[in-house]
Amino acid sequence: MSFKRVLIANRGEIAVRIIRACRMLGIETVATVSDADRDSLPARLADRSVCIGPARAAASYLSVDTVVTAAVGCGCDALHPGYGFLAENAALAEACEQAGVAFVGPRPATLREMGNKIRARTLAVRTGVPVVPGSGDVADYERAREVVHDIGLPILLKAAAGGGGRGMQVVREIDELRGAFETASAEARAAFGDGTLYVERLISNARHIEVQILGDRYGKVVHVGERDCTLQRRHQKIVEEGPAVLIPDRLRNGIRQAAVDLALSMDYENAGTVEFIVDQDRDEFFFLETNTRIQVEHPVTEALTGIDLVRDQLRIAAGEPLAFDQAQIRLQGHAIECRINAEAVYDGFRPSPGRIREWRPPVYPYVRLDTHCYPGYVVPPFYDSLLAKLVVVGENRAQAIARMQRALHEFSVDGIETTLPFLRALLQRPEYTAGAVHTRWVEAVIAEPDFADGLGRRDVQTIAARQPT
Amino acid sequence: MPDLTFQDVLDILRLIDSGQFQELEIEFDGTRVKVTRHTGTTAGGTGPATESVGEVMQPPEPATVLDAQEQGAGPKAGDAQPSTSKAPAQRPLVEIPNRIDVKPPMAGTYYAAPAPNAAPFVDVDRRVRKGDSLGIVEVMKLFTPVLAPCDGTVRLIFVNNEEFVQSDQTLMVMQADA
Repeated sequence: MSFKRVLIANRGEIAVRIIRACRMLGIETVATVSDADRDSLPARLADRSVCIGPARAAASYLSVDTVVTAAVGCGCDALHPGYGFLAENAALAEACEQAGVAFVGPRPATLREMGNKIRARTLAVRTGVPVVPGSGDVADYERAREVVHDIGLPILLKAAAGGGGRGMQVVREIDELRGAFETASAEARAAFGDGTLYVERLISNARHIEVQILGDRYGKVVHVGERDCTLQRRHQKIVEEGPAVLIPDRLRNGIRQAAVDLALSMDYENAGTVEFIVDQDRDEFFFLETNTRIQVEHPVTEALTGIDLVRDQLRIAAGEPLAFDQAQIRLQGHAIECRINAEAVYDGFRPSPGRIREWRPPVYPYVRLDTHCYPGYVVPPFYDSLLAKLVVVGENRAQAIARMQRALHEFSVDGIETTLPFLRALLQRPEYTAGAVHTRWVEAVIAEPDFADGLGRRDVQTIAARQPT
Repeated sequence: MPDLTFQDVLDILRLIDSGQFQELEIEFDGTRVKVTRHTGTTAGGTGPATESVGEVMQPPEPATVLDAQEQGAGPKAGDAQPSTSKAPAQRPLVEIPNRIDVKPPMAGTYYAAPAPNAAPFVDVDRRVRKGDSLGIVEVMKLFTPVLAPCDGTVRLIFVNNEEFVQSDQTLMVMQADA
C-alpha cells in the first residue's frame, strides 16, 4: 500500500525535501505554514497549504492539536514531522495513531524511550554497547559529587530530557560543581520541564560519529553507513561528511554493529541515527544518544549510497518491508555537507534575517543543494537560521574537499549575511584537510584573534569567483 | 486565542464540507475564523500550489482586541501587536529626570520573563543595577538578554510579552540614579 496524501508538519528546506520525495512517489502533499511562511517555497510546491497559526512556533509548528487537526481536516493519511519542532514528540505520534493518521517515524514507545537520555543509556548498557563512563540520574549535588569522586574530572553534566546543548555544563574543577549543577538543572527545567541530570566523563579529544539506520515493521534493521560530524559550534553541527575515513576500520565496524544491535534490541521502525563519540586518545567509542527522526545531514548518506531516505521513511510507515539487504548497500566515494546559515560570523554569529537579494548557488554534476531559499525570499526572524545544505561528492576525501572549496567560493548570496565566508576559511585550514580535529576545534579556531576579523563584512571573495575562469 | 479546541475546528470543517457555500466566517470572543473553499481544484491535487483549504486566522486588526486590553496606553502602544497577554501597566507620560531609553540588542521577539510561567524580570518602579536582565530578545532561536544600561529605576514599560520589537524601538524608560 502507499499513502494518498501526506501532511508536512514542518517548514524550510526539510519541508521542500519531503514534498519532493512524496511527489516522486505520486503522493499528494499538504504543507502546514505559519502566518510568516504563507509565501514560502514549501507553500508553493505543495499541492495545498494550510495555515496552522501565528508566526510564533509554540502556537503553530509546535502545536500537536493543530497539526493533527490539519491532517484530519485535509484528509491526509500520513504525517511527516521532518526534524526539530515535533519530530521526536511521542504525544504527536500517539495523537496521529488515535486519529488514524500514519506517523512517519518510529513508534511512540521508541520515541519515549530514546527521548529520555538516561533510559537510552541503560538500554545501550543492556545491549552490550559501551556508554561514556558516568552515572544514571544524579538526584542532587551530593550524589553528583560522589560520581565525580568515582570517575574523576573533567565531567559533563547533561539533562536527561536534553538536546541541543541545553542543560549541559562542563565541570573541570570540583569547586565549580555546585554552581554548574544548579545552572544545568535550572536550564533543563526551563527548557524541558524536567531538571533531571546525569554525569558523563568529558572526552576532550573527541570525534562525533553517527550511524544511519533503517528498520521496517518486520524486524529487519540495516545500517546505511556513518557520518562524521565533528565540526560543531555550540553543539550545532556545521560540516558533516562520510564515510568516517579518519577513524580506524576496527572502530568504524564496531560502531556500525553497535548501532544495528541497539536498533534491533528495540525493534526500531523507520529511519534513525545512533550517535557515538570516539575518544581519539584511547581509540574507544561510546554511545551518546539515538535521534528518532530524519536528520539535517541525511543527504550525506544519500550521496554515498544512492538511497532516498525520505522515500524509504514513507514506504516503511506505509507498512512496506525494506527493499534491500545489508549486503546490497554500498558506500561509494566521499561526501561532505556544509550548512549555510543566516549569520554574521564577524559579529559573533549574529542572526541575519531579511530579504535575499541575490542567490546564486554553484552548479556542478557533483553538487546537491537542499534549500527553501530563492532570490527575493525574506528569511523570517522567527525560526532557525539554516538557509541551505550544500553537498558534494568526490571519489575520495581529498577530491570532495577540493570540490567543496570550489563550490563554496562560487556560491554567492547578497542581502543578508551568511556563514559562507566562514565555511570557506574553515575548510581551507590544514587541520581540517589533515583530519586533525576534535569536537571543540571549531570553537578554538573562532577564538583565534585574527580568524573572525579576516572574514570581514559581506562576500568579497564571491566577486572574484564570478569572473569567468 | 480563546477556547477554540481541536474538536471545534473539525466541526467547522465538517460544516463547510456539508454545505454549498464558498466561504464561512465565524466570530466569537474577538477571534474570527474564516474558511474558504476553492472549487474544482482540491480533488486530485492538480490545483495551483499556493491554494489554502482551511485558514484559521488570528484577529487581523488590533482594534477589537486592543480595545479590551489597553489599560492606559503608552506612546508606543498603538504599534503593539495584538497579544493575548495582559498589557503592562503604564502611567501617564510625565517628564522623567535622568531618563535613559532601553532598546533591544537586536530586532526580535521580546520575552518579559525567563520562562513561560515565571514572574517578569521587572515591573514598573523596580530598582535595578547596571547589567541586570530586563528581558530577553529572541531571533532565530538565539536568546539575548536586554541588560539594564545603568543603576536606576524602571519607570515606563512600552512592550508586551512576546511582541516583535525593532532594534531602534524603546522598550522601557529608566530613571538613572543621580
